[in-house]
Amino acid sequence: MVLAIVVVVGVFAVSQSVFANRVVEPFSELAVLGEKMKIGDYPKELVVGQPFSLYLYLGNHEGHVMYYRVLVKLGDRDMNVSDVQPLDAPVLASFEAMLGHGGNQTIPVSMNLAEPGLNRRLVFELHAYDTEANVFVYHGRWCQLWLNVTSPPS
Amino acid sequence: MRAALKLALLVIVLSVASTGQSVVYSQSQEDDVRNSLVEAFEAVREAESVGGEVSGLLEDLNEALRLIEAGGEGNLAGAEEKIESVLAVVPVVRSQGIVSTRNQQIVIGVVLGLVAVSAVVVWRLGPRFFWSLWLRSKSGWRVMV
Repeated sequence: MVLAIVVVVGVFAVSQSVFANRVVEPFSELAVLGEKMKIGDYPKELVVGQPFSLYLYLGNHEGHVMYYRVLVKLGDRDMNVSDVQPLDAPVLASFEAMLGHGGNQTIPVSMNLAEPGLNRRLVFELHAYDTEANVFVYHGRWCQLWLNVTSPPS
Repeated sequence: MRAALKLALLVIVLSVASTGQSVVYSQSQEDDVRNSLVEAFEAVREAESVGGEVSGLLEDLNEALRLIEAGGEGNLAGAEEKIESVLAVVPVVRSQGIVSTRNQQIVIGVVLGLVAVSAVVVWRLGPRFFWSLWLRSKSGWRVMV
């Protein structure tokens, strides 16, 4: 009986120390925060050229160092973006960060839009550097803001 | 008069050429710095995979990223300096990681050995020790029939 307890406790302790750093479900985080660095207070109605501020939140739980690039694109409701397909639209801006496992970074974003339009989608896509292909590849994470952009009063 | 005109034209051509060269040089310099940055990232990632502590190196690389995004030759030179310092330190961090991982494996091996020895000791001596303790604790008892 005592022997059994000693063996079980010993094996448990050793397995805990061996597998302590193993990541079971690796994932990355991408979030868009409002100008107060909180979820909410996002811009909805903008005038062409009007500057607005946001924050990008990036988190790494992949189990190793990651080199991220966030692409900001402007699309509309007819364009498709998904976990496997990035938005087919021109890039307005890009932001980069390198994060260790468990690390996160909040990046301030300040931009303005040059063209008017209703139901515009400001899409933020997460890309990660692939060390085997030596290029940035779409990581399947994206966020969007719906915006109505009006022309400035003449 | 004609010689002066030729000289003026030459000066204009040279100044335009040097301006263009400066812009081209700046772009190629940024490409070079970005290539160095990727090289440093891969080295840091490799150092981390063998157990190296790379958080300080990542801070330097993020600072280099900010300098590259800011642009300008001064910032690019600063970024290059940061990246070179990271590349210089990476081998040390890597070897420290290897030593740290090896030490951790030694500790695990020692713990495993202790568990095995404890199990054998308990198996061989446990019952005798248990019954001697039991006898000692009950030595004052009297059996009433």
